[in-house]
Amino acid sequence: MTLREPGTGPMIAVDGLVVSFGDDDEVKRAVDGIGFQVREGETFGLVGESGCGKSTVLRVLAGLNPTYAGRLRIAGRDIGPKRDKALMKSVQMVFQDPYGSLHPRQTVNAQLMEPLRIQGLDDAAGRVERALDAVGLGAGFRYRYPHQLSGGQRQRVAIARALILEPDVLLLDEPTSALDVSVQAEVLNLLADLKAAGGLTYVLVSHDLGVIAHMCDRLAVMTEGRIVEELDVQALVAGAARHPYTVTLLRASETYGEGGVPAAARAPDEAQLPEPGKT
Amino acid sequence: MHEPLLRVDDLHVSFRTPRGVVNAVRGVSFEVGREKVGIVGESGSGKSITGRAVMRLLPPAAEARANRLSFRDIDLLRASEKQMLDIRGGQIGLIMQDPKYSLNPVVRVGDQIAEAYRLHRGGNRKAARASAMAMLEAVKIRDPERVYRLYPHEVSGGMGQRIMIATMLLAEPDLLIADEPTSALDVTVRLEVLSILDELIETRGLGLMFISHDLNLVRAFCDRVLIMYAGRIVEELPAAELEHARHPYTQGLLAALPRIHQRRERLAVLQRDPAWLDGPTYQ
Repeated sequence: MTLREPGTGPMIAVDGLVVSFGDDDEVKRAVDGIGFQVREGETFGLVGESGCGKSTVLRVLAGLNPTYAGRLRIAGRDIGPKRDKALMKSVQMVFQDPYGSLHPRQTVNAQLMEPLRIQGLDDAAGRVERALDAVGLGAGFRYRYPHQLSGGQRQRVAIARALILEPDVLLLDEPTSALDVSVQAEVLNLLADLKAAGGLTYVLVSHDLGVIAHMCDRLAVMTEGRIVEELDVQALVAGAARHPYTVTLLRASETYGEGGVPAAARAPDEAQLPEPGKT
Repeated sequence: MHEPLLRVDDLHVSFRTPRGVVNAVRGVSFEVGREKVGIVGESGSGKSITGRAVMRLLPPAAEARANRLSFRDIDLLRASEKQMLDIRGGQIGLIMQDPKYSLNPVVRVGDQIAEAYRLHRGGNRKAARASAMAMLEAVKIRDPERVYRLYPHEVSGGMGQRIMIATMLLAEPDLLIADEPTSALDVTVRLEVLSILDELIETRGLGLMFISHDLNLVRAFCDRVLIMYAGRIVEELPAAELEHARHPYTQGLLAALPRIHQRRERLAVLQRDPAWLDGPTYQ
């Protein structure tokens, strides 16, 4: 399953990554020269507000955004814009909206079989059943259509589809932001269990510091296409964040969050906040 | 609490569907005075439908009935459509989740605010423009002259929501219904918008019905919280006492939240009990 010798450097290494959109007149650098490393078995968080480039980084890692500049190493191999099957198998992604990421007119079975067929893997039926068991759905869901599933069940199918290829890296783009709190808890627990079962490295993109703090070992804070701070979650929780933007983000999450402090009493002055990006 | 503005007693809303009748709201009772009342629930709990029923903005397939649904002395179920036109926007304002869909994409935002003024308060264009400009300042937009001329696609989400708040408050309503007003916004922007909303509500002494899925937000922002589950209010308590909620559903929701400063190995998973469907309301 793994492409590389264990214990030989980071699972993911990104160096000087630049992604630009737009034409010559108006070039927007969505990702403006970032670098980070993710160790094998780690959960690495990317946090930031809309338009900061965090999802674009994930799309580059997934191979969905082939035009970029910079160096990318996954599982010890240099990655070019063109990827082979083995690499695609090794890096899988779960998207934000489970309503948009499943084919509405294909059964769960058909959607889980497709990656197996592309990769030419044997024992397809067995793999589908095991994947559905792993995400807590069971074989009874095999021949259902997405409209017969709840949001949480759909996200489980999307996770099963990513896991069925036994990847090394799972890229999670806001995997629970479209779900209710109680369903979010189920999906986050599932992701934690799957990782505990071994062999996975996660990169988790989220705007929710609560989710990041719960799931991750380390995180990078992004704003305007750059990483402004990289730190351990322990350090974040202990209040050791140094960059003003991280502090603002943390304070904002806490203020309306756990303390029950009236929003008005502690809302930071508008002037102190970074100019919100146009959304 | 002073004299309640809004009285809801035993509100039911049902939808006729090809597969039979769906009861979305099943016997909801509450009052809103000049205070901030949060209505919290998960998707499908009936919280938004309750808000729409007050504004009489339900889709044609829906039927609302209640012992009482009144705003001040006006019976909202029996009011004429003409009366409702005056109430909606004039006496009860509504702020919805995404300003992108609430604002007219082809009209300059300032003109939209001014239109609301002229519609409900009358007066000439000049007065409307001046009021709109003043309102843009009241929602802490730094450069109102410039923003007045922008189109909705040219403003950020937070700015758009402030423009919505400006539009809604210009007619000086007594009650504001905010349905997930900050869910589409980033967390730092969310705080800005909330503090502006809070300030305007406090200084003008409005009543607020704050509909949200976000327990934390409601806890921090509202005075009282109503928890809805499957079309009913299962618990009602002061926001400050949410931590001591007694209903297992409310407790389950709180336990399921990931928290920055209380890291746990696993999040508690809500076990839904069929008895909650028709169980008592905890107060």
